[in-house]
Amino acid sequence: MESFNQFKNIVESRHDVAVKWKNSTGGKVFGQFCRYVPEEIVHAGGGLPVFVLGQMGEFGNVDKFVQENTCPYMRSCFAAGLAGEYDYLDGLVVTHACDMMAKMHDFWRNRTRVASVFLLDFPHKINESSLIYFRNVLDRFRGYVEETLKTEITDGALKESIQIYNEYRRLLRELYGLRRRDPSPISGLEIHTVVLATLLVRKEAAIPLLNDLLKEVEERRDSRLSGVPILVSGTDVDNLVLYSFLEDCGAAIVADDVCTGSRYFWKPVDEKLKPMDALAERYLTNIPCSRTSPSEERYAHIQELAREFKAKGVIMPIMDFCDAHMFDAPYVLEKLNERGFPTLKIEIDYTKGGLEQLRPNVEAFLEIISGEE
Amino acid sequence: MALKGSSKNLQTAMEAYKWVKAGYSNAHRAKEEGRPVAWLMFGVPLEIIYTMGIAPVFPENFGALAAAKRVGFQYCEAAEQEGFNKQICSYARTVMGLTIHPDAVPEAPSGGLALPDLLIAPTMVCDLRQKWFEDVARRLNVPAFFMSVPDHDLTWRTGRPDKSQMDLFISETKDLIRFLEEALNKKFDYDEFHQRMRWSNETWDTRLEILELRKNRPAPMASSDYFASIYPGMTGLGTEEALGFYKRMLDEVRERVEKKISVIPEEKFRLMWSGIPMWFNLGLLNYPEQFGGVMAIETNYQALPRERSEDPFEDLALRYFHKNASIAVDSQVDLAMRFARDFFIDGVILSYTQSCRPFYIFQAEARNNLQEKLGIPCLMLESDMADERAYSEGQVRTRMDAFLEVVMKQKGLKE
Repeated sequence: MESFNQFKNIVESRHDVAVKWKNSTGGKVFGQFCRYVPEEIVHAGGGLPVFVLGQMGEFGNVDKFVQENTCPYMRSCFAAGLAGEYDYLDGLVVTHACDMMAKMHDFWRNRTRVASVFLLDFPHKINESSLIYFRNVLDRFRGYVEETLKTEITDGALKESIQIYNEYRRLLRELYGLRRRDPSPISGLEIHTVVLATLLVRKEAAIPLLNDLLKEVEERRDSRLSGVPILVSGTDVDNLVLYSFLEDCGAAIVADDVCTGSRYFWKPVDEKLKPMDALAERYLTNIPCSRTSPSEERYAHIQELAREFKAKGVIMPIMDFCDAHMFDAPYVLEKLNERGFPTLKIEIDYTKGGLEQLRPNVEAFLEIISGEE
Repeated sequence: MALKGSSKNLQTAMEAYKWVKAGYSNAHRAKEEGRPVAWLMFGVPLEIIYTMGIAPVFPENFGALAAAKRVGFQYCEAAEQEGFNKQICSYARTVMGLTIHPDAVPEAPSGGLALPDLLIAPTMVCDLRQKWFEDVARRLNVPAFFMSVPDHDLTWRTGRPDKSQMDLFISETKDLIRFLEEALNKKFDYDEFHQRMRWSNETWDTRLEILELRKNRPAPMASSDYFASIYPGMTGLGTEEALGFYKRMLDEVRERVEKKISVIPEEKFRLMWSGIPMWFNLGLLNYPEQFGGVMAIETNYQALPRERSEDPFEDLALRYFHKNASIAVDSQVDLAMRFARDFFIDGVILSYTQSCRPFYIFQAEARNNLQEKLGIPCLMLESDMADERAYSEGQVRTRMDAFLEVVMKQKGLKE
């Protein structure tokens, strides 16, 4: 259990972890909201990329700037920014991953004390010309990181970072694979704790922790995953409350299609290509977010995961005001139902109270699908 | 004050509804005659569409039309029954309702939307427009083309697009032409395209001239005239007819300026409308008139000054990338501030249309800046552009009255 606790501690004291790293190394910290940031570039320059996370139910005095009926996750992150919790960031990389996130660029730039904010455009369509464009965007991004870090990022350093990230991704996939065992030596909540923690540290620090954990988990004899096997697919949920709630309701989370889960690390970067080309290709074509076209690959990915990990059903959390996922939901649910996966859509308002209200629905759903053979 | 349509001052604005009718019936006729019909999101270069002889249909406009006809919410309800969340854009819900349940409203406004042979959307403005057409494409089994365009918020800061941004826009525009040539088995006529670009630019310039004249006091026209007459500019860019419409409108506005013909007998204060109007209650735009207030300008759907290029593809790209076309929070706040100053504005009404939040998320910051930096009183109205269920008449009226009091006091019109 010891190594698992280390991951838990990182999540719980994430600000301290980042500040401590900064003080001890003299390095710079770059925040990001989403997995569409090619972090290897920051890493290669010696920076620490961390995910900016919200705090469920906490919105501070954000209403003065951002209306209530907008993405609560972004609102909560911004509230933390306004309160100065992210003042230690030397840079914030805002991706145009969704409309709301892109708009956050100006809010953070004008209203927080974060040292610099960079808007990283991300094409909405996967095709050749978008790739060429995105490759150029990454050059600009590299320039921004170099300027902030006052250092040159060499191709050699990029290659090294890519290798480290790929090793990290491989280990996470290995960890994910353990849930295919019966009994599974690791729970869904544990896995999500691990993934979340590794979004907050340098990956070369995460790798030994993951190796230790894998060894430790291999020795476990008891099942850590009991309940009705389900896949979670939907809006990004940047904290553990949802997973702990679902497992508490009797779900066993065997796989996921969320941005701080499998979508984050599923595909490696091609080490044979030139590093910047490889990064552009990987990030543009990794399991797409709902707002990217064509969507078929994402739909296939969800079904494949559900089959591979023997999910009995799919629970789809949709964050309030999350336009792309909301629009997608009726179709994705219909397709999953057609393929024999019962589904439950749950609407998340980013408060714990809101989740509790969903308990009867979730429990009833799990009960129904547990009886289905 | 029940929900009602607006009253207009310009002859051209009063005639503009004929354009809307003609637009819809033209598409229905095209369908009957076997000519190609395409559903388009705003932002598709219309000059290309008209050159290809395509009858365009604008689903977003249908959202506004159905709301103005007071049936939008019924379509929205039909979409909600199909699993579309109430928080989704009400234009999209209206059209999904119509698409899945054409009989949700016994008599569809203007006959509803002619069914498409093609769907085309640029990936600008919001994510949802793309998701929307993806869904329609699947349901109606028609091909969709998405123009992948860079985020133009970036150029708001840099001033000018860089080469890679221009390249992507232009290559996607050329891809669109190839897509249409293949789909319709028809060659693209570049001479006609050039001609349409000239008409389009002239239309743009004419609209700019009208905008300039609106700085005059008293206001020669009001927001009610403007919102009634944007249809030709938004849907007819690249046609000689739209150019003719705005030329007539310019003549009319110029004459009113010269003769000092005002919207109300005595213009005591001037207001600005920021955001989408509530299409089901355009009468709201006229409400301040009884107190001597004129809605003198609005920030939406304007043709604003921009760079030009002799090359039509570059020209289209520059139109998209121009600073004034950016929808970044800062650029929209800046636009509101500039207009408030340039048009001598005494109070601003900010319409926060909740189901169009990705765009109008800037409204709170517009209010903060207008109030704190320019000392202009603001009223934020939270409602929706097409779903009238999100509108509360009593509340809006109370808040409107209180706001107008403040404006009049600040102007010294009241104790």
